[in-house]
Amino acid sequence: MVTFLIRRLIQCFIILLLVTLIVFIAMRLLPGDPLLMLISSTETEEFTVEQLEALRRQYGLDKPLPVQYFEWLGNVFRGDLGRSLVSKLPVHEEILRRIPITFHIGIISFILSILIGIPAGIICAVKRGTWIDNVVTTLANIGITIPNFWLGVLLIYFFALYLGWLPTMGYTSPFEDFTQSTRQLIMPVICMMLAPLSGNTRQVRSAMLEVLRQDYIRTAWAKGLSGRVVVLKHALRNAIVPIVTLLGLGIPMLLGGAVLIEQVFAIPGMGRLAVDSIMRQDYPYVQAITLIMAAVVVLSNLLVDLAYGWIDPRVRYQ
Amino acid sequence: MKKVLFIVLSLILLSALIAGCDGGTTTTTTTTTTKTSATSTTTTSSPVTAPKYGGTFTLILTGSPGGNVGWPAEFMGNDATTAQIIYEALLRGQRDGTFEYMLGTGMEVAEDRLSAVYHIREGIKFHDGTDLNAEAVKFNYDYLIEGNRQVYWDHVEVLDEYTIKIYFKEPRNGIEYSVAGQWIASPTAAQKNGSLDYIRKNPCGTGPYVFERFRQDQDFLAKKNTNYWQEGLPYLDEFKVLYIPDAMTYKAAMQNGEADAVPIELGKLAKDFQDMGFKVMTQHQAVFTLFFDTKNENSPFRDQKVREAVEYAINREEIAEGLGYGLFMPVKNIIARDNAAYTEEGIVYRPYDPDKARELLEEAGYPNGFKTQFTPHIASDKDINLAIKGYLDAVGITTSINYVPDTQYLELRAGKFEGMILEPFAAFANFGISLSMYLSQTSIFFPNMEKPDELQAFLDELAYSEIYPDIEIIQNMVRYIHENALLVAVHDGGMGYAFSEKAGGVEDSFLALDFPPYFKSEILWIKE
Repeated sequence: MVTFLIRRLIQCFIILLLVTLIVFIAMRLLPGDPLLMLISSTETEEFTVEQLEALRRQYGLDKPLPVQYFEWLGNVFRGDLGRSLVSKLPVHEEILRRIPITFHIGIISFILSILIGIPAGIICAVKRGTWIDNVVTTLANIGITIPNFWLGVLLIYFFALYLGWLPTMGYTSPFEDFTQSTRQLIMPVICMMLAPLSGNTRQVRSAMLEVLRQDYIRTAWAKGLSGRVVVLKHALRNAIVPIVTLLGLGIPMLLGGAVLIEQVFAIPGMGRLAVDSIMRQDYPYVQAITLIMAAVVVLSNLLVDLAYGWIDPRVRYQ
Repeated sequence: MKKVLFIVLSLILLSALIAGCDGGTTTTTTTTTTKTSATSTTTTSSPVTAPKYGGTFTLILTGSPGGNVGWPAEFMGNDATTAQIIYEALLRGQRDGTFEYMLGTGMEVAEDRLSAVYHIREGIKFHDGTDLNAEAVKFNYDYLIEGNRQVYWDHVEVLDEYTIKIYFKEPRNGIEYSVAGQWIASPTAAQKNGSLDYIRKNPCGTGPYVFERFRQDQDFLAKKNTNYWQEGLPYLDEFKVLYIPDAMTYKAAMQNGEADAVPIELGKLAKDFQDMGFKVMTQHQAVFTLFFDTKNENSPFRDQKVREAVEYAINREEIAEGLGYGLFMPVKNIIARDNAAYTEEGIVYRPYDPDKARELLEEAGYPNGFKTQFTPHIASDKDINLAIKGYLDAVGITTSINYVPDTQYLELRAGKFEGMILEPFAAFANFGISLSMYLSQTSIFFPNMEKPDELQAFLDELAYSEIYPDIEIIQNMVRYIHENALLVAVHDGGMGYAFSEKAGGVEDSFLALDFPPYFKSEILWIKE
């Protein structure tokens, strides 16, 4: 087990290095010059080529690419993620401010998608072929296909403008004003959780149906065990492995955020920061955010793999 | 089944309870259910009402600062639009091209225009309690010189406690006014903790509002400066900025009464807000203009007849009428109608005439037309772009529209575009600045466009003219441009604001300054 863990951690490290390298190269290959973005937004009287080159030297962008990359990497190992080309402020400050915001919305969506999705899937499987199954499955299919940003706009117009129940947008920390925070989060959370909730419902239904057909389940029924025990203790436990995989895929979303949701509801999350940084070609931000996101993905995959061993004793890692 | 119903009903009840709770206290949005009622939607002044003290003015901006809202010497675009309520300069440029004294009280320009003396207003304090004086101004200006933000400034000298002298490298036209818009920050704040990081996040100026908090992509809050040097001002207790990038969302926010003003572009957005019943004020201060890659040896646009054909091919009256939403005015030349230099006298205007366009193309050696590319500005209207393509296709100039993101557009504008590029002529009150910015032979903008020596001669003459702005030279230059069809003016453009009913003082505040996103925040007030 320890050997497995060490080997996986080494793999994680290599993956992270590769990801940072790929992103570094990709950003440099993108058409456009970030310095032109900086200049144009000042729209000064006249800007010459010499001034542009002076600016490039000032930001260190005149150095060879390998030098730029290894300088950045070296700083990362020293805990310095760099400074924004635009604001000149350390990038880690803004990232640290955004992580709790995105995590806040993400974790609520994640938990609700599990709390609602898994029971819904179980009910559908147990009541297969009934009107409950048909209605819930249809709703789940709709939930998966509906574009979440479109839903967001609809919710704004209905709940905020038409009914006046909720604010149109914004984010408030729950420690600042819990009520306002909750009211502002209702619509974004609904939008964010809908797709994973629907996916969980369908996946659980499918997995449960597969397990409920098994002989040992028939035996359990024959033994006279209660429905709750058969379904929750025997069937669900065996159906949970593919569900854990699905949940594991959802963990990175806790930090990745939903860019479009953040855009529609004006939430200052990680997703929006990532996109804005890419659009501005603010290299330090893009590289730092990608590194963090990649780390979250590889570590969550590792956790899921470890969870398999715990859930299913047949799975053991040597 | 009963359990499911019970759960559903509980959720509905919970939702209703939460919806019924009071809204936030100090932060963000109101929860009122009253919607903005229809108001007149003109640009004329509202009945005179005495300003009221108190309240919070909430402005929506679609773009958030990149993080630095505090150090003016490094400001980019959106940074300045937010920080303008905190900072002031010696002079402030007005929409009509004149200047008013703010932190300065007077100036004397040397005869050779290689230096100017500025007198600083006494008795003003920065928000941190330190004094505004000559040393403070010099501190800020030194950073501008070092950072190449003022390329024609040589150095700054302190003459006495409230007098500075700026030495210029060249006696350029209007250089003495270059202090306008160069905001002054507290040197004490700028040196706090030994680096600029503190002030980058905590702006400290002399303006009507004192910085309270900034959260990138979220909000900016400032409180009334109770020691403001303009007596009786500001009226508001608080000034708040919300950053909402999505148009649907900020429209909804305005309708829900969560904000008092939002910047809009002349066109569909302005019309939408008018239709929703908001007061809309707009300016016609930019003309979307076609530039050509005339330095490209293979470009058909090197031939003046081809460029003239483009101008004849496009029906600008129809664009203004059909796609301007009742707000566009037909353009006659590259100078915007609201600009002090605007004239139609002596300016060659080629009206819509597709037959003439075809004739010119034939004379130029393109009887069957040719294929080309057209890159529209990121802010241009897609319907108008399609209309332009349609007009050009109709005369044989088969055009493909090259939509690109911001950064790529800027790169194309810096010399890599092919065919044509549609750009709004920069909206400076002194149109000479716009001409210089785009058409100088040393500028980074449009270097792949042929800029004749005659054009540079105009700019050189303008640069050293005694008159500021020298309208005559500007107009002569524009006449030359149109006579030679160097550029083709296509359609109207501009910026404006939509306001809620509560917003007071907006007529004298917004659109009163030389650059559209800037406004006089000290005279705004709230009616309720």
